Amino acid sequence: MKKRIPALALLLISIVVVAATFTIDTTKLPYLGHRTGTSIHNEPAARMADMRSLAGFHNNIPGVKQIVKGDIITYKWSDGSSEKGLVDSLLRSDGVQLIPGSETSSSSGGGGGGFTYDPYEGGGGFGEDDPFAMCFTEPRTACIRVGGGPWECTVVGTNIVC
Amino acid sequence: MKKAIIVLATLAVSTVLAILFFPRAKREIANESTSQATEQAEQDTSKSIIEPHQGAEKITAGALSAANWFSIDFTELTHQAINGDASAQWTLAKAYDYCRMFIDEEENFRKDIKTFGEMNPGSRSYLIRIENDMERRCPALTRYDIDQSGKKADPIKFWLQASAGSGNLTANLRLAALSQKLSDSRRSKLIQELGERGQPEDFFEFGQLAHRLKEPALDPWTKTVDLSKIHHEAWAVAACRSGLDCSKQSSIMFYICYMGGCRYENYQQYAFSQAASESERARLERDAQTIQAFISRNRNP
Repeated sequence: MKKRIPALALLLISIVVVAATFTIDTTKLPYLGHRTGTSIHNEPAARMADMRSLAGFHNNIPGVKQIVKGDIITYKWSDGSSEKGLVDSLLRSDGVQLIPGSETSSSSGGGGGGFTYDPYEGGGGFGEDDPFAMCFTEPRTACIRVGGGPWECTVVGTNIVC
Repeated sequence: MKKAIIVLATLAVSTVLAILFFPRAKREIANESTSQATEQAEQDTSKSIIEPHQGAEKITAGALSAANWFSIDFTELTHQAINGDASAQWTLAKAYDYCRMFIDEEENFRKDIKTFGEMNPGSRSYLIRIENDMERRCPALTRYDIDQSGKKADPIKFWLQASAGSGNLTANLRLAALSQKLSDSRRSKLIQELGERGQPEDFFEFGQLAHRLKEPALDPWTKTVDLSKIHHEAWAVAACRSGLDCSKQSSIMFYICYMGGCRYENYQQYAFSQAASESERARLERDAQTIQAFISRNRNP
């Protein structure tokens, strides 16, 4: 029975302790306009290619925490759907693997884990059931550029990483 | 004793039932055997037809130079792979992976290169060089379609299976990395083969699987080192130090550069930069030396 558990699930369980999580939201800066048209309804191979491209885009932003092997990325597509990818290898074109079951359609809203917490929008108290109890925060960076000028990145808030 | 026999009999009956009634279970069991998987790969490739597109240029045979990634002619490489050269088949699978984005999503890929170069001006010239290289060499790979039992096959998997079927260990390791399952028996067999004939590139590929070694696995050389405890980057660092090209002339560094690592001169530099602390760097160094010693044992048995 133990052997029947998919390897990816085992991989996720083992990685959860050390892996960082990232959110790439293609409806917001700095990812806005990058890979528009991608959604959970596209072919898996095309989505994986786009996931890798966006991970590359993220890593090329000066000063941000780098996505590395073992990290889990939540992708929010321009149609409102979202899903997660696992960075299995940086050395293959299909190195970001889809995480089965993580897809959330635009209409169902929420779910799927991996979120961005904005301290400026406030947050309610959770009492003893605080889902963020085991989380930590890291700076959120946004990059902009004017015309064809250079990218300028600044810390605009805080991401909460669980 | 009687209880054990009953349990074993129950297990045997349920396994037979599962094989008979659940085709998926049948497939999973088949996948656990490396030899069966290799046989399957051989069967699959033997059934396939590789068809040049109309108007394809005539292939001329020539010496394949693996010394510099950028000097490999993909047309010649394809010719050698079709002729059954297992090493060429492995390299061709790598070529398809290298070219995949250029072939499948050329417009997006060119946009990426432009954007990444603007974000990191220091990497612009390298990225443009890659783009030019792909423009020059990758179209050769689009001249062929691989027909596998009436369906268009994924060329990467096709050539990996062909190469692994001919006994190429590196291709076999890459297939294992692509596979969702890595059974205990397959893992043991790969480690055994690595111990018997592993070369630097095999050790590099094995490093891509290292995070999936959950149970202790003693090295096949000295039987004293638990391979599951080796730093996952140590395999690559050792392979690079043992002669594998990990410089900016290699395909390896294209992947790293695309993922934001253009500032690194070689893979070793990148690997050490990822270590979070001085103690992790020391551990990586120590483990890399251990693996280097294993590689040199294979070279000088």
